[in-house]
This record gives sequence, structure tokens and C-alpha cells, in this order.
Amino acid sequence: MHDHASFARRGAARLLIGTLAALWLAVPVLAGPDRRPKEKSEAERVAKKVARALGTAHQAEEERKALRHFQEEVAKYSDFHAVELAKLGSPEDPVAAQAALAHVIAAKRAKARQGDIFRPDVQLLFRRLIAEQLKGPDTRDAQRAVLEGNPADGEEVPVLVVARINAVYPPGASRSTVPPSVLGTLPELPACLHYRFVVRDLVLIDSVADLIVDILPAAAPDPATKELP
Amino acid sequence: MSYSTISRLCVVFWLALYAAPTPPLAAAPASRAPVTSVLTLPLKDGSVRFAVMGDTGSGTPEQYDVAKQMVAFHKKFPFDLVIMLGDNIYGSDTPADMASKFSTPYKPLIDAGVVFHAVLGNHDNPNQRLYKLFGMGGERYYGFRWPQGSVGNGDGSVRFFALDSGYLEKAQLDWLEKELSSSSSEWKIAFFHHPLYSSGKTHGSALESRAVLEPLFVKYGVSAAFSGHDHVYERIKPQKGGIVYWVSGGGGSLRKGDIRATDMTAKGFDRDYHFMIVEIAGDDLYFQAISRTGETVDSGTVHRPGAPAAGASTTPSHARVPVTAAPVPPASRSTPEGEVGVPPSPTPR
Repeated sequence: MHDHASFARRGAARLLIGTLAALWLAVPVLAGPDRRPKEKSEAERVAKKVARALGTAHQAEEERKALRHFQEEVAKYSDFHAVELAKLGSPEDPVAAQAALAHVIAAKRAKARQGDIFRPDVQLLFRRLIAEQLKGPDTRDAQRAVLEGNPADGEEVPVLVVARINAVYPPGASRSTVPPSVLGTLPELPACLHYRFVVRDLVLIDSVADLIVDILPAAAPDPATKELP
Repeated sequence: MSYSTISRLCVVFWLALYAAPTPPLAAAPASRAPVTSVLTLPLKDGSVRFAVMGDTGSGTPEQYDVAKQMVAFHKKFPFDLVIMLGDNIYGSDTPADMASKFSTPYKPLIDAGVVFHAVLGNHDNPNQRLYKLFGMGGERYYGFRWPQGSVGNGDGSVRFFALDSGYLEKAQLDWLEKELSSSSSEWKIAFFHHPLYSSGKTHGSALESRAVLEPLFVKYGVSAAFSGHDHVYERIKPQKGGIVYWVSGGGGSLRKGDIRATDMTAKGFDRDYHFMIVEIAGDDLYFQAISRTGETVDSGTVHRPGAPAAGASTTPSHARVPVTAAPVPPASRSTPEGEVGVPPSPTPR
């Protein structure tokens, strides 16, 4: 009897251990196919997020650099403008004064090229900032403002404006409205410089000499497609 | 009748129908019977009087016609100030242009000592701010009190705020807020080129500009605002803060039939060129819009927002800012073409 009882106990113990072992082995096998892909996909998502964050940080740093460059360049231009303006004194005829200033500035900046101020990294930054204000359903008024005052759009007697470095903005040509949202987003300028749109190009214009200082091509939506670059 | 004869007759008939010279659009109103120019403003003692004109600088005969009307009304209503709502000089702006598009047509007013204060429109060279007769003091945006030399502490003077609405940058908005908040004048009037409210089909309301300017106007008690840009006349029903907005862009340019009447239109006129005269006395602003032919196209009274209610029973209790349409001379009642009128809204929007 003793042997039979002992045998039964050992058998039960083995059965229990075997069942537990089987379960221990089975659970990962059963659970594995579900859990691993989940983790894998989550890991992929996390990796992408981290990459994005690192990319944004890199982009933010690039944009800070671009902004610094832009601000330095416009400050330099502002100083140059102030010196040249002071040399003119205070002439009676504002139109003649404007022409004289434009002539002097154009001569001294004869080697200026498109992109000196709007260099490629500044262009990237500006395009992003402008896109934020001119893209989407709530931006119709801003888009319209940019386009309607533009020389090539809606004028009864259009005056052709050619966006070219050192070109004087033609007298009588209409000027675009620069929407407050765009002005509020772009870096502030010294008083001697303004942003304006000429068709889709954003131009930096000397507000006294009325001279185009630099050009960011195709910065505004395409009037035909209403799409942004 | 031969084939060639028939053909010739057809050609002659076609020429008679379609190829005959037609008078320019602007000439049409001149063919109407002369209109008696009636002054509807009260000419109160000590009142502030000014004229308003926008989009003037075309140098066309029509601009000169409007200028002649202004001179004629100046004799009956001696205003000493004109505010100019932009597009002061279209096209080139040489000294000869400045003469033909500004100083010549308004010479009688300039000679009479009338002072002009302008804002820039989208067609204006920014250097117009340096043109002395435009009274901008070299600034794109500026303020002034009228009459000159007044101090503004309840002395009946009016504070004007001239803005460059085509370029509302942060510096300008900061300046405006500072000036508005420190102004002790009871009447604060803003003027600028692009209208915050307009039913003009060509341009319409400048919503982005409204988003940044209107909160300041409401917060600091601007009473009225004048704009041009759309080449029509339109009085807008009182908007937020009870502010009344005018579009007066037909001083030298016209877009006939350009108003698409909306529920914000109190009165519109898009048939002919026009200008406005305004008188401020106490808490009331009296206005009259006059066409090129001397016809009164709109007139009435605006009670200053925030002022004690007008004692007269004509003030509707439900309207925060009553805009009372004065009787319009029969001449303008009988010519409804080009006029748009919508009854005043009971509540300001």
C-alpha cells in the first residue's frame, strides 16, 4: 500500500511539474507571435520619433543659423543705407532724392547677386514660414491679399515689374499687401527695408530708394494652382 | 437687289449697330440734368469740419469735376482739413504729375489754407510721405489732432490716426496701440487705404487687416474709420464696438456697379465719382456723400459710441450707435440706379 501511495504521489507531482513546465514553455510560444511584432512596430515608431526629434533639432539649429545670417545681412544693409542717405542731405524734391539714392546704392551694390541675403538656408526657413501662413483653409484672405495687389493681377493698366536685383520698383506699379500674419511671422526688418511680393516672388525692397535688394523666388502660392512651392 | 448690294447693306447696318463711337462711361452722368447741391450738414458753431476723398490721383477730367464740387461745397461748408484715403497719385509721380494729379485740381482749396493729410495706397510711391502737401511728415503712419493746437481733453477736438494698411507690421501696430491708449480725445478716427469692411466686388473686406486692427479700435474706442481701395461709396452698418466704417474710393477712379449689396451695407453708391464732407459737433458726427454732379448720395448722423445716448427721441434704444439717415434730396431719390440701400441693422455686428 505504502508503495502504491508513494507511487501515486510521485506521479501526481510529476504530472503537476510537467504541466507547469509545458505551460512555461507554451506561453512564450503562444504569446510570442502577437507580442513581438507589436514591440517591433512600436520600436519602429519610437525610432522614427527620435529621428524626427533629432532632425527637428538639427533643423531648428540650421534655422537659427539662417536667421542669424539674415539679421546680420539686413543690419549691414541698414548701416550702409543710413550712410548713403546721410550723404544726400535733405533735398527738396523727394522723387529726385529717391532716384539719387537708388543710383548710389545700385552702383555700390553692383556686384550684389540674388541670394546674397536670401541664401539657401534662409530660403528654406522663409518658405516654411510663408507656407504656414498661406497654406490651408483659413488663409484665403491672406492669399488674396498677396495676389490682388500684385502688379500682374487685377490691374486695369498693368505696369510690368521685373524682380531683379538693383531694379527700381516702377512708379505707379501697384504694390501687394503683405498680410499681417506673414509680417508677424517673418523676421522683423529695419525701417529702410520692406518685404513685398512681386507675383510669387518675395522681394526685399529698400523703402526709401524703392530698389530691389534681394529676391526669394516663388515664395507665394501659384495663382493658377493655389499650391505652394 | 444684287448679292453685293445686300452684303454692303449688311455691313452698313452692322457698322451702325456696333461700330458707332460710344461716349466713355464717365461721360454719361454729365448728360443728366444739373442737380442742385444741397448742404445737409448743420454747420454748428465750433464744430470740426473736414472732407474725405479717396483714390483720387488719376488726373482725369472726372477727378477735376469732383474737385470742383469740393471747391463749391467749401464755400457753403468751410472745412479746413481733407483726409486722403490713398492712391493719391496713379502712375508716375514726377513734379508735373504731382501738379496735374493733385495740386492743380485742388488749388483753390490749397490756396484757401485747407490742410491735406494723406495715407498711402497700393498705387502710391512710399516716398509720397515726403511730399509736403500730403501732410504726412515723412511718415507712413502718423497721428494728429484737429483743430491744430487743440489739447484733446474734452475740448471737442478729434484725434486722427493715419495708417499704412498695406504693410501692417508689428512696429506700426505697437505704435497704434500706444497712441490710441494715450489719446484723451473723445473722437478717435482712423483712416487707411484697404477697407476692413467692404461690399466691393473687386476687392472687398481686408479680413487679415481687420483681424489685427479691429480689436485695437474696439478696445480703445475708435468711433469711425474711412478707407478707399474699392472705387465706390459705401457706408457700413455699425460693427463691433459700434464703429461705423466708410468706403470712399471714388474721388478720381470709379468702378461702376461694383457693389454687391450685403447685409452689412447701410448705403452704397457705385454710379458716379464722389467725395464726402463731415462735421463733428459734441457727440454727433454728421456726414454727407456728394457725387461728381453735386447730388447728395447719402447723409446722416452717427452718435459717438460710448457717449451718453442722444436726447432726441430719434435715437433707437436698440441700436448702440444710431445712424440716422437724413432726408435725401429728391434728385437722388429719383435716380436709384447705382445706389444700394439696406435698412440699418437693429444690432451692431
